Amino acid sequence: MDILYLLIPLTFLLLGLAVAGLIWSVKQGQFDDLDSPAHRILFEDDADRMPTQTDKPKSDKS
Amino acid sequence: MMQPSNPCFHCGEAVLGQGHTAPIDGLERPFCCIGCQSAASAINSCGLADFYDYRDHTSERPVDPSRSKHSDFGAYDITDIQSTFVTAQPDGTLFFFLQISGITCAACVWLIEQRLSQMAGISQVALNLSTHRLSVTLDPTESAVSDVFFALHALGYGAKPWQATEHHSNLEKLQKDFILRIGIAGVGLMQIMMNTFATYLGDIAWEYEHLLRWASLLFTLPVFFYAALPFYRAAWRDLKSRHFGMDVPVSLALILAFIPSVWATVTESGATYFESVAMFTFFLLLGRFFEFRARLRLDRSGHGLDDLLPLFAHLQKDTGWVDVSSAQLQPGDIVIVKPGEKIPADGTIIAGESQVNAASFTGEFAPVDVTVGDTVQAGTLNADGLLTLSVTHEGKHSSMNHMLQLLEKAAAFKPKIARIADTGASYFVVFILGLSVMTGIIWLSVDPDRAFWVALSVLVITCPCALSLATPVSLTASISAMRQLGALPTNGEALTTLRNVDTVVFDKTGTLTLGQYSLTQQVSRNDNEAYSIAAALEQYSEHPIALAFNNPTELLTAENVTIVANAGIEGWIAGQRYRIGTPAFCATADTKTPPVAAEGAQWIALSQPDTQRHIAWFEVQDCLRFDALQTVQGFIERGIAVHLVTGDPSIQGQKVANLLGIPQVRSGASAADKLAYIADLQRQGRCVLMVGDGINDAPAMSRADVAIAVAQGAELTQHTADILLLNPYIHHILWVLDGSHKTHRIISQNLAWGLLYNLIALPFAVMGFVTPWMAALGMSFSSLLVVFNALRLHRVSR
Repeated sequence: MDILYLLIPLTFLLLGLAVAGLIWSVKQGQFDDLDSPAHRILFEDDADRMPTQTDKPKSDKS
Repeated sequence: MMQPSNPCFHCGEAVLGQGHTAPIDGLERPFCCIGCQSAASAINSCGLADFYDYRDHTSERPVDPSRSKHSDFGAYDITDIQSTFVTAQPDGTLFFFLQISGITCAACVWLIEQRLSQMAGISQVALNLSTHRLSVTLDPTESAVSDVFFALHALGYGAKPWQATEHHSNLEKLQKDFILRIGIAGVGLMQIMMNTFATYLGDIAWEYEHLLRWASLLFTLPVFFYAALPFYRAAWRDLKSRHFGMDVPVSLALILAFIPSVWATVTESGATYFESVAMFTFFLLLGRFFEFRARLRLDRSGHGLDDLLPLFAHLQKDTGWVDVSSAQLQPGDIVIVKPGEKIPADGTIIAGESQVNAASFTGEFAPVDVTVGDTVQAGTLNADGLLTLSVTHEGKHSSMNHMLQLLEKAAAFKPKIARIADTGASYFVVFILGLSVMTGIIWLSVDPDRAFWVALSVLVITCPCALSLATPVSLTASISAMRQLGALPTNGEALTTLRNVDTVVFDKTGTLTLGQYSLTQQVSRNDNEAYSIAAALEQYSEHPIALAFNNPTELLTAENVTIVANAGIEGWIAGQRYRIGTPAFCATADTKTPPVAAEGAQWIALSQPDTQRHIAWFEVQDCLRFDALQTVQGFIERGIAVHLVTGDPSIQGQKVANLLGIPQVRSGASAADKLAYIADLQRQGRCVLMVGDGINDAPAMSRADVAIAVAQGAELTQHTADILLLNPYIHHILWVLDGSHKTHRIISQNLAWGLLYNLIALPFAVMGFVTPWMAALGMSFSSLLVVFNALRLHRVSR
């Protein structure tokens, strides 16, 4: 159980990093828009890259 | 959602008559008006028709984009005007924010960002769905700022320059603050829970438990001192104002749980309750954050005066006409106002004659004739002539500001909204504090070691969390249900007050009526052809009558169009000269006298002056909304007294009242009269709901107990309203009214549950069977139940 003496300071370090990351991202404005990211993932803006029926599926070897 | 049988592909409203069609993504689609059709065609031609698959709300009906030309936005390319909102970056690009109107869902974000990315020279574009604010970085050598405005307009969205105000930056700071505090409380909570569970799970050597306690103490520090700070601040404010809100017991519980736990850790005795501190902080912050977000959503509309004044004015200088921003105008300046432009400052006409539309002031849309020597007011619309003005007041002294002052005074007299939960809960708080102290004193004589912890459990388990959540959560759910009906409550309490309303006061023009000229009768040989010719000509006019002709079946193009002030329009269509306007203007050899016009109605003529042929008579007038009768009857059925107060001095007010069965009518009321009317009713002990649309309704609306602004009303009016109606159906007000009753029912249930829970838990806590962590758990569970009950309000009933 003496490992706790190492692990607990380690959690402090990790959590400190996590909180620093949070502060950084909040300051960056990453949380300014909480509404649209949930929808954005659903928009297909790569339609031009999608294979059409006439395209043959590419095999791995080509 | 109630769907019309033949919905417009763009805005979803019923397509009346023949309507319009246009091919979208290969399929012929129906549209209700040219505005929707041209917006959809623009979207389609940019290859963005996927928009219609992505969106989950129908779009707002746009003002016909094809009526605007690129040059309408040319002023945004003037350096003087750009300097108010554009920042030049070191690399030569321009950066600016725009406030976008007409956004209904996330697909709009996609559409706008895709469309602008297609434009040359735009290196960054991002639209924030929460604030409806668009940020653009643009290379001025490739695209002009006005191009952005024009592109947005073509898609059917409105855009105006956005400047940061203190209010906005405060809200933004608050949101960031919230997220940071919630994050820190969450991280702390998880870690402290982990530590605490180790001690729950059976035998642990004292040495290690001691270590874990110290670790928990350290993790609690940022939660207690940083994350929970807003509660202490609010509690302090409450204490100073002697009004006991929720924050006093919350802060007390936090402090009383934290300090002894620290003591226990340092002296290596007793028990610690760090996890309770963290859990409590985290969940309460989360609740507050959701409430804050609901309020934030409502903050997009209206900034008052700025929106009513035009951005720029044509000022006469020694060198000629210069476009300057309206704010710079000084008394004595000479400006010209072109047809269709808003008047930039109060002034006296020194040349020209025209009709001025003061709808944004008086709510009456019929324009007033003005000529040399008349005074005109800032913010009113110059309909059809070229005017030269001598400015008499600079912007901040304009007559519009007097309206704003009236408004502010009225708002100060608004009856206090009953905060049922707060008054109830604040007695409860005092009761709990007393009970906790008494429990502690009694336990001191029974078992002094446990006395403190038992008292704390009483405080935590009875913490009126469920009680305090009962109202805000129900209101939030109810607000979201209202939004589905197209009604946007700007404050939750309005919904609880709406339940008590026993008197409703309607404005006439624009509220019970459409507030614009509609075609009510047509006398001609070939109706469709005559109408299409009229529409082609009227397209060039800013006169309100033009709106009656916005739905032609056939699109004709008029050329060499001239607008004659106070008379009509002349233009060439397919090689023929046509005139539309007053009977005198269109008089031909074979013109018969027009049919007798109904009160409030007006006949306009269409003729071919070259062949001296009369083609058609059109009767235009303001029409009642199709659901006006249904709405008024609905109020009467619910036992609510209906009044009509209108600024229109004519007999029209009485006529509308008779038609709709409204017993009390007051005609020719000014903004101050309307305000006095409402105040009078309130003095008689009435709880008054005011429904209006014009700026002249604004003071009365801010005085009324609850105010509803109808769609397309003036922005200032929307700002003072408690509930905004986003669609043109006023009968939705009845549903909102019923919804407020349902909301009240759910709130009562929630309060009852909160009380019941406390009554059951209290005896156990007083007797010392409950430890603080159990209390924290019980409290959270009880709160969850309240939340789930409230979510039932999401289901919309109509």
